[in-house]
Formats: sequence, C-alpha cells, structure tokens
Amino acid sequence: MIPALEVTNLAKRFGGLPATRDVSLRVMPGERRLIIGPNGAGKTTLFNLITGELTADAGSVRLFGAELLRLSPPARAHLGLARTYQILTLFPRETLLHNVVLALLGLRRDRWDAWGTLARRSELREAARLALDRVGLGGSAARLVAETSYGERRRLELAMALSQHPRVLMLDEPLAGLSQEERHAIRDLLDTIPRDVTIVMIEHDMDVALEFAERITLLHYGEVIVEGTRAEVTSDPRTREVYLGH
Amino acid sequence: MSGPLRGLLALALLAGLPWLLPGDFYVNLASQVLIYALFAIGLNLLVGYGGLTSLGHAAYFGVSAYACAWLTTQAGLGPAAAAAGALALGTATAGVFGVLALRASGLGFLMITLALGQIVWGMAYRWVALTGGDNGIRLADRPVVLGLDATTPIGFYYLAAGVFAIAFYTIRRTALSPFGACLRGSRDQPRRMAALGHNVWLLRWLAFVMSGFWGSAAGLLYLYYHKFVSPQVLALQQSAEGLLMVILGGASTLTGPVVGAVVITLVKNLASSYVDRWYALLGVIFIVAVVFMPRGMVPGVAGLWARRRAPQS
Amino acid sequence: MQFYVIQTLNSLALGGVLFLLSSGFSLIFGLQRIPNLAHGALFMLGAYIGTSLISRGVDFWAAAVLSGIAVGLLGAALERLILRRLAGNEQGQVLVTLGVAFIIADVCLMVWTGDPIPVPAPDGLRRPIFAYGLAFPTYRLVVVGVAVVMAVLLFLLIERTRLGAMIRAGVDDMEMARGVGIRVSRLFSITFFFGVALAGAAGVVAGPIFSAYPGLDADMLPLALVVVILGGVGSLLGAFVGSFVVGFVYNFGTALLPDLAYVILFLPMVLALVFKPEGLFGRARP
Repeated sequence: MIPALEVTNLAKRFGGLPATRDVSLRVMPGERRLIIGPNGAGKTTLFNLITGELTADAGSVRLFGAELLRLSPPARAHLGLARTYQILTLFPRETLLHNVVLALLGLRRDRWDAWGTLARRSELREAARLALDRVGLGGSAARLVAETSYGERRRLELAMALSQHPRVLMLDEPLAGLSQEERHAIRDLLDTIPRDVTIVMIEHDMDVALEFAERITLLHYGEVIVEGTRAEVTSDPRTREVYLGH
Repeated sequence: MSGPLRGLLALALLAGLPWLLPGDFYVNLASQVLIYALFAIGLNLLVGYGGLTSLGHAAYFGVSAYACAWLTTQAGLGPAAAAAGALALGTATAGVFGVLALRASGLGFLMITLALGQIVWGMAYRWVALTGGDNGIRLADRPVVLGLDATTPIGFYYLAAGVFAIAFYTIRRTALSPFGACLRGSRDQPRRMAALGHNVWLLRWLAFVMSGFWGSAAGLLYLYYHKFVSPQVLALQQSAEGLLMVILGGASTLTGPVVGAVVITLVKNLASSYVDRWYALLGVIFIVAVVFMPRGMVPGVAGLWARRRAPQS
Repeated sequence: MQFYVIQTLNSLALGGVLFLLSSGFSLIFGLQRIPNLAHGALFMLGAYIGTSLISRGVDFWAAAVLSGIAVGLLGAALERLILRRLAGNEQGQVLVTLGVAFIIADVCLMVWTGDPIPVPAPDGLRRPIFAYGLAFPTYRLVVVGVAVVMAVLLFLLIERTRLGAMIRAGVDDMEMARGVGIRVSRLFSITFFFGVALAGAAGVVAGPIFSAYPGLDADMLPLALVVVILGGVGSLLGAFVGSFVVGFVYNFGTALLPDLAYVILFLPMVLALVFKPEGLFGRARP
C-alpha cells in the first residue's frame, strides 16, 4: 500500500543552524499520527517543509506517491494536503461562513469568476454551512470571527481544513490554549473524521493527544529519536530522556 | 434603501447633475471630478481590495493619454482606433510593471512602483522625439462618441459620466465576485490563502492589470478633456493625489475613493484661487489624513451612523 | 579620449553624490523600515540652505556641515513628532514622508523662487588639473574623494563602534535588540538625524555639479531608489556599489543617448528585480 505521506531524509538549515536533520517518516492511509517533542524540536518546521511554506535543503516528501518538493503550497493543497495553524490565521473581519467559503473556493475553478455575485452562490454557502455544522458552529455562521471565542476559532480552523475534504490533514497544535472541556470536545470531533482522511498532528498536551494517537514520532533537535506505537514510545527510555533530561 | 434603488438614484443624480449646476464652469468641474473618481476607484482595486499600495499609478494614466495623443496626431488613427490602442498599451504596461513590482510586497512593492512611475515620467521629459518633451502633445478636437458630441462641456460630462458609471458597475461586480473575495482574502492572510490552494500572485497581478486598465481609461478621458498631455500627468504628484483620494475617502469601500476624489478635486480647484502652493497643501492633507483619519472618511462616517442607530453596544 | 575621461569622472562624481544620498536612505530604511520619500527634498533643501550660507560668506565646507545639521534637525523633529506617532504603521509612515516631501519642495519654491541657483565650487578647486595632456575637473575628483572618505567613516561607524553595533543589531532583529536593552527609540532618532543630515550635506557638496533648482528632489529620488533596489536595503556596500553602477549607467546614457537616458536607467533595475529582488547585497526579507 502506498503511504499517505512519506518523508525521506528531509533536511533544512537556517544559516548555520540545522533545524531539521535527516528526518524520515511514513504515515499510512487512515492513520492517526502524533508528532511530539519539546519546544524547539523542529515540529512546526517539519510541518512547514511538508506543506511547502519552507523549501527543504535535501530530501523528499511524497503524498500518496506524488513528489511534492517542487510544488508550491497551493499546488500541494490541490493534491489533497490541508493544514491548520498553531497561531490562528483566520479572516477576522469576515463572518465564519465567509472564512469557510474562502477555504472552499481555494480548490474550485470559479474562484476566478470576477463577474458573478458570490453571495448568490447558494450551493457554496450550503457546503460552508455544512462544514460549520460538523464542528458545531452551524448556528454561528453569520457571526464575525472577531466576535467569537478562542475555542470557537479553533473549531473554525478545523472546519476550514475539513471543508476541503483533504486526503492528509495536518494539525499544528489544535488543542493549544483550550480548556480541558474544549479539548475533549475537539478530541471527540477528531474521532468523527472518517478514515479516508489521514491525520498528522503536532501536540504538546499529552493526555488528550496521546489517547488519540495510534503511532507517535518523537522529535528532538530536528531528528527523529523514537517512533512506534503509543505503547512503544511511552515506554521507551529515550522518550523520558528527551523530556526529563535523564 | 435597497441596492438597486440606491443604484438608480445615483444614476439619476449623475444624469441630472448638469442641469442642477449654475454654469459651464461647474459642469467642467464635475467632469474633472469624474475623471479622477475613475482613476481612484480603479486604483482602489489594487490598494483597498488587494492591499498593495502603489505610488506609480499615474504611469498607466499617462501612458494611455500619450499613446492616444500620439496615435491620433502622428499615426493619423481615428478616435476609436487611437482609444483602443491607448487602452491596450496602458494595460500592457500595467501587465509588465505588475510582474516587476510583485517581485516584492509591502514597502518593496511601493518603492518599485514609485521607481517605475518616475522612470516613465523621466522618459516623457527626455524622449523629446516621441513625446515632445515639456511641450507635450496637443489634440485638435475631442471626439464624437456614439453620437455624443464631447466638444461641449455638457457633452463631455455625459461621456465621462457614462464611462464612470460603467466602470463603477464593473468594479462593483468584481468586488462582490468570488475573485473579489479571494483578492481581499489575499490581502488579509496571504499565507493562509496560499495554503488553501489560492494562487496569490496571480490574484494580485490580475488586480494590478485591472487597476491599470481603469487608470488608462481615466487617462484617455483626461486627454479628451484637456486636449493636451504633458509630462505633468506622469509626475509623482499625480500618483500621490490618486492614492490620497483612495485613502482619504476610505480604501476598503466602494464609494470611499469617489468621496475622496470629490473632496480633493474641489479643494484643489478652490485652493488654487487663494493659495499659490497647492502641493504644500496636498502634503499637509496627506499628513493629516494618515495621522488622524487612517481608515478614511466613509468608514468613519458609516461608523458614526451605525453607532447612532444602536446606541448601546 | 578627453570625452571618455571627462565622462568617467562625471560618472564617478555622480556615483559619489548618489552614495552620500542613498547611504542615509538605506540606513534609515534598513533600521526603521521607513523608505524616507522626503530624502530627495531634504537633499534639495540642504543645497538651498547651502547657497544662502555661501552667499553670506560662509566657507563652502562649513556650509555643507551646517546645512547637514540644519536639515538633520528638521528630520529629527519629523521623526519624533510625526513618524513616532505612527509606529507600527509602516505604510502610514511612508505616506507621511511623501507629504513632507511635497511641503518642503513647495516651501523651497516659495523661499528661493524658481530660478536655479548656482553653487560655486570652493576656492582653489575651480581650476582643472592638467596631467597626461588632459584636463581633469578638480572639484569632481574631490567629490569622489569625499564619498570614499564618507564610505570609510560610515563603515568604521557601523562595524567598529558601539552605536554601529546597536544599529546592526536593530537591522538584524529589532525585537531581540530591544530585548537586550537597546534604547530603540533613541537609536531611531539618531539614525534618522544622521541619514538625513548626510543628505542635506550631500546637497551642498553636489551643488557645484547640479546647482540648486526646483525639481532637484524629483530628479534625485528615483536615482536613490534605484540604487537601493540594486544594492539591497540596509547594505552599505550595496549602496556604494549601486551608486557607482547607477552613476555610470545614467551618466554615459545621458551623454550618448540623451533621449533614452531614463530607459537605460530602467535596465539595471529590471534585471536586478528579475534575478535578485533583494538587491545585490541585501538579504531577502521575509
């Protein structure tokens, strides 16, 4: 079976500083992969290399066999890669509905239509409303992002990514800054995502994320230290070493 | 008041204005306002909706005016062909300059557009064989367009009003279209838009070209109005005035630039009767607008209006 | 032969003037992220102030320094009173400098009227030097010398002094610089003063070559912009090399193909933008 995401010998330096060193990993279709590591381990850099926002110095990234390295971020999105951001990057002056509409338009031909009226595209608005419903924000569709709570915004991030029906969904700390209750709500939401979406997640929060993960990759100083099932990684002495220093 | 009704009212006002004004001088003034309003709403596509501040927009205004003047006087083309050629050349210039300017964004973009605009201005001054240099190029007559005789003040007013109305309608449709929404999105969160699959460069370049097209149209009207073009139209002051109209009126709105154009054109005409130094005044208005009214007049007034209707919030 | 020698010297002199003008611009832009669009106008103002001082008997070089200081103080006032209010609003700051440029240009027109005012070269430098059967315009040689001296002084300032270290830190990473205790707002005022004073003094130094005339600002600003686009923002070396490249291209262009001089100016800029948008020496900014 072709891996959903295959990273081979990926490397990136910033000036003299190696941020990503010879990272290889393989995520199978439908898998729920968690990437952990202390601050500065290079998790977000790895994400940015996979999504194309950073250009790698060496190595390759394959999405269902297709080589991504020469492709721009938009091109990768068109191949089925979606991501959410650690620091929210929403459109604050727009409604929640509009935010999702922009996400939907990203993959549609009629995003180039400069004559028709967007507000009349009822089928598009319906699809956006459905995406919001899925994350429990259906009733807030007409509200401005600026008027929503942090927890609602995190869910909007998710709705935007899911609305594109991606093949691989990359979540960068989707639980950051949320209350315990909200974290569980998001976790339940993630559980409802069907297996035709492969999920790769970066997280710090150990309880909730750990429950969710099937396989875990531990990064430290830009390198893969341990990789395996949840049980394997949590019991591995190297994991403790990375986090506790001994 | 509903949208279509507002539009009809505006159209009626536009059509009836010459009959409400007390003389040819005012009709001509209104025509000038329309020319600059056209320039401003076109520029707004780039500045307000695209989020790309250009200080070189006079280039398309001027290239179009010069091209039409040259094609009419030197190449002997008829008005339709000359106008078409002028629009084509102005828009093509925008296409090329857009590619160059979009190698950067933000301040870099601003500087490149400024430099490009200045270079075209310098060319107009120095390439005397082509442009007549300081002497400019004179047009014998305004054209007759579709039966409308533009040689009279009222005739020209209707030509300008017609072009403006078409432009406003088209730009409004663009703003409300999927393309317009994506353009605004790329202004607010370019990185996010790219990750969502949008081609941000192409969105911006198309906005640049559209903006250049309308700037060219305004330049054409300018030439017909004055029957004369000189390097002044390409000067930095021209680009700055246009930008000020957009910013003063409100860059994120459709009507803001129109309001800005009205205010600046009227102040400019009024001021020149009392004050010798218009550019110093322009500079002062710039500083005042940027420091005290960064979002422009239309959003400011709209905000006041909204607060009046919902006093507790 | 004489023609090429003269044109080469003129190009070098122009390059020297451009360096004096654009190094200040590049410094301010590099540190404060403000492209000071009033730079050309301040250059012109310096030239005009210089003419007034010289006509009152002030020595040429003293006039250059005094003009520089006067213009620098004006710039510092602008920075403290207006630009600082707009901190964080980069676009607003640029537009304000544009407004100031317009105001200064008109004020100069009001005070010194529209006729060009020639600036006499300092005594003793007016007669050409004769060597190898050719006549070298002495003053232009001196201008090149001044530019080189200034370049060396600036280099030493930036690379060897504490102030320079602070400037370099600020250019590299503003937040970090603040974090290590650098008084950023004071640094801004000092650099703005320096950068603008340099432009003002340059106006006087360039006086014997250009004179002081209305429109000098509009002529100089695009040249400075092209230099900075070519040489990279915040790079002293870039400003140095870029100035001489532009000096040669513009000067020889104007001499050989006067109609197309500006088109020729286009070319290096376009090439730079296509192949290296961050300039020859600048670092790509995110």
